[in-house]
Amino acid sequence: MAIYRRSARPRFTLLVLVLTSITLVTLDYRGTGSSAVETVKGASRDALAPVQEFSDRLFAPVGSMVGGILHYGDLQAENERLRQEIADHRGQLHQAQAVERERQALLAINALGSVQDVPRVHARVVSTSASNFELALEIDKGADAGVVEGMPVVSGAGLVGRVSAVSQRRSTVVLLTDKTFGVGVVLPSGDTGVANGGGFRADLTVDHVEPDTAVALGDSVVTSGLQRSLYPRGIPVGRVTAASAPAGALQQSVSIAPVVDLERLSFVTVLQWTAG
Amino acid sequence: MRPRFRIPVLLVTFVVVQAIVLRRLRIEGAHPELLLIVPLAAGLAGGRERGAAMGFAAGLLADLFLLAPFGLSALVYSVLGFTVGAFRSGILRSTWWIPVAIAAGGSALGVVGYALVSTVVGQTQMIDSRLAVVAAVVCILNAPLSIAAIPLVTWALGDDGLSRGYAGS
Repeated sequence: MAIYRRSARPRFTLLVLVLTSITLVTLDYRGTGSSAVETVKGASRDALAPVQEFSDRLFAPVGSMVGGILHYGDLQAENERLRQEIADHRGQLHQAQAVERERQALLAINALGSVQDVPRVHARVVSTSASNFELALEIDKGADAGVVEGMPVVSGAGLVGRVSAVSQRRSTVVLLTDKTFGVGVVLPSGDTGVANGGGFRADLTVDHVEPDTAVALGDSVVTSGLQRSLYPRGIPVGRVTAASAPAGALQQSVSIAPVVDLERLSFVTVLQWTAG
Repeated sequence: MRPRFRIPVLLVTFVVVQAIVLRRLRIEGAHPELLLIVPLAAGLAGGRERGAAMGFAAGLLADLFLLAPFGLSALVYSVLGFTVGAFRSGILRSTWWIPVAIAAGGSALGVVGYALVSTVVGQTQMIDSRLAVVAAVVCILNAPLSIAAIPLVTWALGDDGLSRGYAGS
């Protein structure tokens, strides 16, 4: 009997723990009690926030110095490239300003909203994802700053992702390359499609593009902002890297690379945009 | 410090270290999983039941910071701790590197197990070619971490069985 007890108790414990885990997963998945779980999760993230901020202040100078020494050659090359890009962009800026004035006039005539009109919250990227499978980052603004789950997140270059979890002082942003991410987009031809994340360092794929639509490499793809869209129209998403239409296919196979360098983000902007 | 206080202190310390240090240590976008070593070390040091219980606690803590459904890590870590605990008798008196190798291999298994269980609840995006990369990176990075983490978990459990195993090697 004693031998039976010694061998049975660990199994019973495991059974209880497994059943408890499955119950928690089910409750969270079905949404029952998810608010309680989200409250605890949010409180945990907020509790870690001061520790993260302190460690950032402590380690950031050391990290920058070590990074500078290890990648000195790369940094020099990058500086050259950036100087060249700034010179190019100065020229493009003047053209863009003229086009923007025309666009604003057209929007005003048609009573349409613009990304520039959307209220926004600027935030600092404080951490990358806690998971090895979720492509996400954590920002230092939360519900206290007016951030709400589902809001689009952009950088100066274009779309970064979407807010997927919010606590009082922190928010988690799912990146547009995450495989759970999808966004309605419009091609230069005016045709629409849905861009889906392809995973770590992989291009996004655009679905529902007609086989006869003209798509060229380098074409700029922006958010479509169709009715009830989660994103306002006109946010740059990516540039076409591949497009092909196999014979007999019902849609084109189109890939786009994000315009934003997602691995070097320091600051982002949360657009306080709600669908509808 | 009594074992009942040591365990929560150790787990919270592991969470903080993971959040502020290890999350930044990335190879091919993947980082080490310190909390994944807890059930493996507890299973080695304390057997099946302690392995499962510590795995459950560590998994719940890990789940607090993930977007995935709450309880997934707890489920995987519990089973992992129990499984390693079932094989501990032959490991206790072995050389020092065998527990480290088990922690490394167990970490890779834990990553794969997590992806498989996630698929069951609809998170199908985890099963792809990247899974092998993540499992390999976690295996490689968790190995050196386990050299420090295994004695710490053993100390927290108040069980010096594994420590004797190290000394006897």
